[in-house]
Amino acid sequence: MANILIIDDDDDFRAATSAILEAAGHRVFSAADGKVGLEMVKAEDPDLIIVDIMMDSIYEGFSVITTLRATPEYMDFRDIPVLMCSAVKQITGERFDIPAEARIAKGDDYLDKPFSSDDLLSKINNLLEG
Amino acid sequence: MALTPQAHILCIDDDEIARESAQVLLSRWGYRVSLAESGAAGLELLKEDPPDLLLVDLQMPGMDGIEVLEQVGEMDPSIVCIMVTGHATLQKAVEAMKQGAYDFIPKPFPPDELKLAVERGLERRGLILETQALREEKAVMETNFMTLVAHQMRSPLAAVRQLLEVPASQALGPLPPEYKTFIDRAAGRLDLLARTIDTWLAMSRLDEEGIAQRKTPVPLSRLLADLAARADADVKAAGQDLVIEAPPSDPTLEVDLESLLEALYNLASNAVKYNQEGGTITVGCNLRGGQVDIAISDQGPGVSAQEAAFIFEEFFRSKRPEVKAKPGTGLGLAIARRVVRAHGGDIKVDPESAPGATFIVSLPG
Repeated sequence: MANILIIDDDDDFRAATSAILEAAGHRVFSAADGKVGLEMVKAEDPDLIIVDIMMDSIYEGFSVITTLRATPEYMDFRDIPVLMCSAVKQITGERFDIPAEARIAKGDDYLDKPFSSDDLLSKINNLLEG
Repeated sequence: MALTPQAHILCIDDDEIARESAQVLLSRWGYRVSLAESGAAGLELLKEDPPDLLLVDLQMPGMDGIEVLEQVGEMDPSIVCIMVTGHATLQKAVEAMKQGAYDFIPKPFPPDELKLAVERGLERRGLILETQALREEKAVMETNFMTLVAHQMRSPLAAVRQLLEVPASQALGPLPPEYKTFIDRAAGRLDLLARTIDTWLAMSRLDEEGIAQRKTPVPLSRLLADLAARADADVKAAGQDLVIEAPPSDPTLEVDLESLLEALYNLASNAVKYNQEGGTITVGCNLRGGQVDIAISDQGPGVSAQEAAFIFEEFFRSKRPEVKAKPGTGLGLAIARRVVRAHGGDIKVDPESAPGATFIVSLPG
């Protein structure tokens, strides 16, 4: 069972995702924005991070990942696997070009919102094993 | 949007006296006036400083009034043109009107008649500009509306669906079956609503010109093989069979593979959805002349002749219970038709296909 950090500005997504993960036996922390989320990374040293790409400032999700992977301050945390998610990727037709600095860890994954409980748990298990 | 008297009028006439009298009169009435002594010079001026209204002499050496009209029509059809002529013949008048002249006045022009023609012409110009502005405004509103739908409706919808996933997945423990049924039905309706929004947005974004530009040569056999691969999961999940009848030869088509495959897949997944239990979907090809017909048939309830007339319209859904019972957005066939038409082809229901439905996609070879 793992320590999982959810960074998402939508209260309902945090609540629903936490409920599913906790029921599966994980320990869950959550943050409503990227800045608080990054502080929690240091405080809690999670095994996995779930981050929403489209938070209030458009690419806040990517800036979280870039900070995590590319700044010396987060040297000890840069290998934490990340599961990105978004509710508007498909419909806006926007392609997300993941910044090069954000792409250091292999095995990072992406999930469209809303996701089924099964999809969420299987992606998380893959990331934790990888 | 009424035009102020400062409207700009360009007068093209090879006759100096006619130009001068036009300038004196039009300036007196408060218009801004430009003059040109030939069609070519007039068109140059028009490019640099487009007028609201053009007064042009019919008979000039070199480029005559009709030619000027033709070119102005191509450059800026919102400019209102009035033809001026010393020897009006009915035939010339008709020709000028056909080229888009708005009015006709004799030369030398009686001031009253000129004033009336110019005022009417500028009124017309005002209407044209107003229509243009409204059309542009509408396009902006439509784009904004799409963004609104995408961000402001889709996100909360996704959140509601995610909340419902907690009881639906029974993550917190088993749910009494009588509750589970209702939760699943609510989740199903939300999924369909989300799909309708997504599909509708996809359709608003569908870019016919892009499809035409992305066309590349693709052998018919490749198109059919890709279709079979894409539909495979749906066919297997429904316990059905898909049979591709190999065409007698393998012509190469000019297509945008991605959008066309999606349109054909849409027809195939409809066939799976409405097919009888354990039924077979047949994809056949007919080559005639330069045209390729791809026919996708199922063994379901079929399409009635009345429905066939409307089935490709946006949001059309059959009223028949056996069809209505299946979830659908009412947009798939509308998109498929737009994609096929963007390929220069067309799509129809085969009227003689009963029992079952057959959709025929005709593509230029």
